Amino acid sequence: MSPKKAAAPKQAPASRSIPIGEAARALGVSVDTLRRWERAGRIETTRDSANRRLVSEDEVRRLGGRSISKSGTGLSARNQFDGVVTAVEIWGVIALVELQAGPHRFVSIITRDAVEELGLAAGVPATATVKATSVMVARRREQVEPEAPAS
Amino acid sequence: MNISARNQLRGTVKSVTLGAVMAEVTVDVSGQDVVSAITKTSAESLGLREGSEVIVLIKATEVMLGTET
Repeated sequence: MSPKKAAAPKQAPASRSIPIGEAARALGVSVDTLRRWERAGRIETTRDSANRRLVSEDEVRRLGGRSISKSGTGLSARNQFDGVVTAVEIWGVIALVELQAGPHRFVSIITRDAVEELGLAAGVPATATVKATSVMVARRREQVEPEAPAS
Repeated sequence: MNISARNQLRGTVKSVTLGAVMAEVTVDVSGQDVVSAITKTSAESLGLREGSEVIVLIKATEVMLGTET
């Protein structure tokens, strides 16, 4: 197998855009401050399909924000979601932790030791990390299945 | 098919980069990219290409959590 060169991806995702809340966190300022900056023309924002403000990672970097990209963590894992812990359930040595990351809810099963060491509890900001080889992809049936009713 | 994976995110394939054996699939889920490394055979049998509507699945035990130090 010939190793893939570590060149830029074919479809250069110019700069990922992140929700304004995430950008505010990366910059260490409030969302209100970012809105003010936007009005003052200090920061460039775009809108997503739901008209929510997005800030490009380049813009965050330009303003001196700490790296929010996955490669800025010193970890090889490709996937990171910043969020807030919403629930922690301890079952013996294992814990079930729920994390709300933007529109996504993640469930993570980790040891009770890890929960205690990290001080995870509802309201604590945390990042979910998943290696690319642990991500499966399923095809969605486009035409059929409107929205499967709960069975 | 019903599947036990606790984490299921609906998204759209942004890019598929084929290697010799593996494929790197980038999926846009509500504005955030998720990268998946699956075999080339799987990517081909699913017919994945830009614009494919997919669900990204991650077993809960594969999700690590970290906090800022």
